[in-house]
Amino acid sequence: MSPSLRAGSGRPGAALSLVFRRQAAAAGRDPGPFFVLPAMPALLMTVVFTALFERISDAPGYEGGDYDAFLIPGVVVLVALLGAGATSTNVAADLRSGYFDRLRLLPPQPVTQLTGRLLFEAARLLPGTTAVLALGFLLGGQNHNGLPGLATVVALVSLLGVAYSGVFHAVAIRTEDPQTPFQLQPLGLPLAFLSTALVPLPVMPTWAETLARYNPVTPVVDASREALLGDLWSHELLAALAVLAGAIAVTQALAWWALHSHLARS
Amino acid sequence: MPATRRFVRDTGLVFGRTAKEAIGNAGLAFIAPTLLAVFLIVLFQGVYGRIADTAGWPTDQFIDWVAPGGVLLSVFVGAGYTAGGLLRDADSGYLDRIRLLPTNPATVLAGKVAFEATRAVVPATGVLLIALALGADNRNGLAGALGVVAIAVALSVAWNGIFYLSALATRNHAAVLGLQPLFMPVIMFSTFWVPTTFMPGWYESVATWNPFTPTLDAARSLMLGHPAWGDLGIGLSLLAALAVVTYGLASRHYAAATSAD
Repeated sequence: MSPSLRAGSGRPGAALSLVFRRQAAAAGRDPGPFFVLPAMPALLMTVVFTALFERISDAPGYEGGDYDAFLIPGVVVLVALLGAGATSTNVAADLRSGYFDRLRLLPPQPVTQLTGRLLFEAARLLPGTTAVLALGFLLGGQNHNGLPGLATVVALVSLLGVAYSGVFHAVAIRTEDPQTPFQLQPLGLPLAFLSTALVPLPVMPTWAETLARYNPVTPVVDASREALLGDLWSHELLAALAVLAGAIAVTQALAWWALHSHLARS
Repeated sequence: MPATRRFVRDTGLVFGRTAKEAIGNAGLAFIAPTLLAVFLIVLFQGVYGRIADTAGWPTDQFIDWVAPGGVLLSVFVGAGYTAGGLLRDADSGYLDRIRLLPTNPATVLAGKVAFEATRAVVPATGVLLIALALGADNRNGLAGALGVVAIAVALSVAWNGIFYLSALATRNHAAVLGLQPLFMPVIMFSTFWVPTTFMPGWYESVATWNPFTPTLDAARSLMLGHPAWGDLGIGLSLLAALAVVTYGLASRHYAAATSAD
C-alpha cells in the first residue's frame, strides 16, 4: 500500500492535508487567479474610492466618521467576494478528467476533496487581505485594536471566502466547467456594493438600503469595522460569526449534495 | 468591375455575414454590454449617489453626471467582439480560403470594423434610454442624444483597434480577453464618476491628462447643455490617433497573415 493511501485511510486529517497541498501546488503553478486576482479590485477601490468619494461623508445622513477610516475595514472584505472560488476550476477539471471516479476506489470520502480545497480558499486570501490592509493604512485607515483587531479582520475575510466558495463548488460540480469562477464573477459585485462595505445604510436610497440590510455580507463588514474601529468583542462579531456559520453550512450542504448526486449518476 | 466598387461590395458582404452571426448571438453582442453598463451605473448610484447632495456638485442628480459616461461604458464592456470573431476565422481556415478568391483580404477587416461601429449603436442607445428613464438630464434633445451615440461609435472603432492589434499580433484568444479589464483604469482615473473639483490634486492631474477625459467631457457637455467643442475636437483627434496607430500596426500583421505567398 502506498504511503498516501495509508495516510488517507488512517487519518482524515492526513487526507485533508494531501488535498490542501495538491491544491496549493496547482495554485503555485498559476498564481494569478489564486493570489493576485482577489486583491486587485479591492486595491484599486482602496486607491480610487478614498480619493474620489471622500466627500460622501458630507452627504445628509452620513454618520460613519472619517471616510477613509470607514472604508478600509469594508473594502478589505471584498477580497473574499471579487476573485472568489478559484479552486472550483480545479474541482471541475478533476470531475472532467475522471479523477473523482478513481478516488472512489480509495478509502477517503470524496468530500475530503472539497474540504481540503476550502481550507486552501481560506489560506489563499491571506496575501490579498494583507496587501489591502497595508495599502489602506497608508491611505488613512485606522486600527484601534492592534494585532487582535487585524487578526479578527483576516479571519472574517477568510471565513467569508470559505462560505462563498461553496457556491462556486456547487456550480462547478453541476456544470463541470472550469470557467465557473469567471462566469460567477459578476455575482460578487452586488454582494459587495449592496452592503455596508462602502457607505453606511442611511446614505443609500431605500431600494439599496433594503437590499443591503438583508445582504449576509453586511454583518461581516460591520464586524470587521467594529474590530478595527470599535470594540474587539462586539455584538457585531457574534452576529457575523453566526451568519458565517449558517452560510458555510448552507453552501457546503449545496456543494456536498451536488457532489453526491454527481457521483451517484456516474 | 472597378476595384473600389468591388472592395465596397465585398466589405458589405463581410459586414452582412458578421451582422448575421451577431444577431444569432445577440446576448453577447448587444444585450450583455447594455446590461453590464446599466448595472454598474445603478450600483454606483445606489452607493455613492448621495454625493450629489453635497456642496459643489455640478448637476442636480448623480445620474445626470454619470449617464453620458454610462453610454460610453457600454462600448468598453462590449469591446473585442469582432476581433474575437476574426481570430475564429483565422483558426477555422476561413482567412486562408479568402486568399483563393479574387477579393482583397482587407475587406474582411474593413467589414468587421464597420460592423463593430454599427454594433456600438445598439448598447449605446439602450443605455441612454434607460438612463433617461432613470431621470438623467438631456438638455439638447434628440441632437444631443445622437451626438453622444455618435461619440460612442467613434470610441468603439478606436478602442477596438487595440483588440484587433492584439488579436492579429498574438493570435491568442486569451490575450484578447485579457485586454477587457483595461478599461477600468481608463474610466476610474477620469471624470467618469466625479468632477475634478472633488478629486485630490494628484488624482485631478491624472484625470486631466487621461486621454479619455476630453471624449467623456464632450459627451457629457452634449447632454448637460453647452457643447464643449474644444473637448470634442481634442477627444476625436485622440481617438483618430489611437485608430491610426492600432489599425496601422494591425493591418501589417493582417497583410502578412493573408499575403498570397
